Amino acid sequence: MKEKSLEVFVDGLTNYFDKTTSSLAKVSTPFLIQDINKYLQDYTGIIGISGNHKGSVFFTAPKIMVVKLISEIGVMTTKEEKLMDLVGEISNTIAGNARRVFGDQFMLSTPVVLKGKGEQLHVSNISSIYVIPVVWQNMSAHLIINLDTV
Amino acid sequence: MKFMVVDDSMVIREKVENVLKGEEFEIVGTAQNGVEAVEQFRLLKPTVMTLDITMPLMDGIETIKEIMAIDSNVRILVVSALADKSTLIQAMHLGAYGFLCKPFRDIELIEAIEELIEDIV
Amino acid sequence: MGLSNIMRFKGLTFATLGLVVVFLVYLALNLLLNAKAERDLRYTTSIIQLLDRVSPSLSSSETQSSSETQNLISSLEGFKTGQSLRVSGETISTHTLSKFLAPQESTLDLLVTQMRAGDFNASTETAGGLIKSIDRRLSKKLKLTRYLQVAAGMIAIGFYLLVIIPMIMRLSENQDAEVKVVDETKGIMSTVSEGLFLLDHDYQIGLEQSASLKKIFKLDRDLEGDFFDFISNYVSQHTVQTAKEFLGLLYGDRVKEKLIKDLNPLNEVEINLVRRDGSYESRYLDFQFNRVMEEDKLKQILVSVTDETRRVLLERELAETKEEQEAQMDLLLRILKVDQAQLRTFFLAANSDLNSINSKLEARGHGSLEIQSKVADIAKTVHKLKGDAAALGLHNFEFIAHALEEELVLVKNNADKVSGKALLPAITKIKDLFSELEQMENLVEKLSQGQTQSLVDGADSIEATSAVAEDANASGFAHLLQDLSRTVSKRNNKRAHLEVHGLELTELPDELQETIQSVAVQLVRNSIVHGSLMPDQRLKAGKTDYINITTSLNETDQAYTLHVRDDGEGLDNQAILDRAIEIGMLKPEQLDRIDVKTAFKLIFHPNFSQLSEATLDGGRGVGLSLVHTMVKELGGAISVQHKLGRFSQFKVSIPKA
Repeated sequence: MKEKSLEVFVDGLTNYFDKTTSSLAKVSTPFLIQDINKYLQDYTGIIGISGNHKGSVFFTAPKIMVVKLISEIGVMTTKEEKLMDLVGEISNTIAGNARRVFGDQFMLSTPVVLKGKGEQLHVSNISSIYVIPVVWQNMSAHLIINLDTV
Repeated sequence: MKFMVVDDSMVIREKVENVLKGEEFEIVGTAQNGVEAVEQFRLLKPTVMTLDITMPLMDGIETIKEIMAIDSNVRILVVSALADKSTLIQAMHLGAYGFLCKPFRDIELIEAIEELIEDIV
Repeated sequence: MGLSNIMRFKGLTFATLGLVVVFLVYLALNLLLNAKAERDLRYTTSIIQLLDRVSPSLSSSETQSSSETQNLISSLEGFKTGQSLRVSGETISTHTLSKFLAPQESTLDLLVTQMRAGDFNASTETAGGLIKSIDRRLSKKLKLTRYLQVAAGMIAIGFYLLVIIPMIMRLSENQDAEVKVVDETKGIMSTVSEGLFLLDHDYQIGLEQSASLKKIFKLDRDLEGDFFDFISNYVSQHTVQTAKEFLGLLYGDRVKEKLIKDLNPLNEVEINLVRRDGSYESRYLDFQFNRVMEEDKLKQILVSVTDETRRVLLERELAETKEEQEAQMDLLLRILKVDQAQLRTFFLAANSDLNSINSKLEARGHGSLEIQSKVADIAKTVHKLKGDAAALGLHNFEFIAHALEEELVLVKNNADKVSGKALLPAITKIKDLFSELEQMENLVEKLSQGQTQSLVDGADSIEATSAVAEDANASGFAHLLQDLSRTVSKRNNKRAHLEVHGLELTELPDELQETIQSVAVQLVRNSIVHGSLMPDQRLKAGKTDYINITTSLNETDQAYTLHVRDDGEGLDNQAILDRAIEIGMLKPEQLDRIDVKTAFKLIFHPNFSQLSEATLDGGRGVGLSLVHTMVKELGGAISVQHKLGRFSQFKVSIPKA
């Protein structure tokens, strides 16, 4: 069930919003893309995946959203270092959730956080990549899933 | 050796008869349900019989019970497509000697019958 | 295990024991011979002493000598009469003496005569001769004894060499064989890949187990205790119960072991093993049970367990691969059948449809209503795609599109609020459609490059497929419509006869061709699914058991006109109204305002469906509404003529641009 795999990542992300913020996140309609670079926003956390499924999962969000998110946990800052740290934390939560559900079918790397769209990512994808927009307080982050067998 | 075939499918009855024609058996009777089988068994006293489980009027399990009450020396080979192993095992506990799964090839039937009677030939 | 050493030690003991026995026998024999020789010596000495006294007795004083001589004479004569006599305090049987004296009996007589005559010289000479002769006999006898002793020794050694040694050798050979058996058994049990063990009458697991057994179950120690308790850790209670009954059969003596193999509930059973890290792993194990008989009595049951996981998985994989290959082959054959130009038209349309679906999904709007309206929009396009694929016989694409449609309808009809998460199953199917499309495009690309031969194995199939391809190219869309009619009627257990006129459409502009083909597909499908009764009911109504459908396309200066006419049941206005109320499209109070004669127009409404269950061929209410939308988009019009129970005719006119 391919949708189950997608669901696990989506749930990981929405759980984060539900547990750490005062308003719920909403999942918008998923769609498919070919080139990932157009969809990257200000900060992107990347989780590498190997094992039964190979590929990567991205969490990418605009700066303003990250600033608001960090304020929700009581930290008022726009310092890049702190913001990237939070994006890393969110990616970690997504990975942890997936690890719990998939057990040893998936091997997940520690997330890496990138800044901006400038760093052109070379993502090898043989088929389309899933984009699942998550809307929180009218701001939209993307969960991007690129797995070879899903 | 007196042989009896009990099966609700005519195709199977004919197949068994044809396969055993060349062997040392005398097909003394065929029946298409349990009731007929018990009646004929009482009259014909066959030594060996093949018996289906799923049959109208009286199923194979009941048939075995009644036949055992008449003469428990008969060698019964259950021939069935039934997948429920515990029912088939019950048939063995009631007195059948073995089981052959439908559909079967001619040689499989012959081998099964040979095994069934190897110690009384 | 020191068992083999113990056995070797026993062999050695036996060899030693044999040696001791032979030595003792030899010793006893020797002693016997020695004793006899000694006695012979003693007797002979006594006789010689007797004879030695002959000459002194004759030469001594008168009185003494005569009595001494008389004694000697009677002793010597006693030999002949068989009396035993005492010599130097020892009784010697005359029999023994006679052995020494018998050949000299005449000489003895002579000696007695000479002694009686008192002839000293003659007596001395005769006695001396006798002594000499006895001496000779004695030394002969002693020599014989020595020979006998040597012979006995040699016999003993010979006996040891010829009997005992071979015996020991044979024994130790047997022991070696036994040791070998033990060694081999040990070797087998430690290397055999099956898990082997024995079960006794109480179903207790035996101590002797092959090394593989614990490996199969991923255990650190040997199996122990009750067999059923053990397996209940891995299989369902029902299976355990069936296994109990099955083993009960084996312990009984009635059933034939070979004839109940198929009843074994533990052959190829799926079990879940706990890994060291706590996670589960599914394995497929095969348990085989065999009676172990001893003198016609059942002693134990031998259980062999094999891990069949690789085989089972391989078989599954092979089956899947085969299915995949068949699907590929099927696709290939279908694509060969379909006119290349039509396929390309389909590919273009499908690509643009899928992309439009995707961009609709990408568009903003995450509220429940927004999502549902997106979905309703997409569902229409998917339905059209499904029909187009069906018309070309692209069944895999059709099936995925159908599954996608199911998912979309679920979301569309959901009374609760929906989130984008509900579309995750749909998006995976959209991705599948994209890749199916890509696969087909690649295949067609390869075919057009003249690589047919590398794709199809074997000369026969090449001939066959190219024959099919030629046949298909000639008849074009008409052929495909025929194909669709057959597939749809078969799927719905109906029969249909389709006539196609003027639908080759090759000169039509692309967008028009696409629309007209799609509309024809939807209308033909509609006739069979909704317009036709079951074959037996048609016969009862005095009709042919198959529905007759005629499609035709006419061209005038201003427009193209498509007619689809069938001798089906027509449109039942009342039934349509009832249905509309049933599915909540109309409220009963609205009925008054509706002209029953025009109720059939409801069938073009997006939410109207005549079937309560959605199938591949209908029940979504999308088909006719889609036709309506497509025709409207091109500025065309639809009109319907029908008579209840007799016929219906759809006329679609599309103006030339």
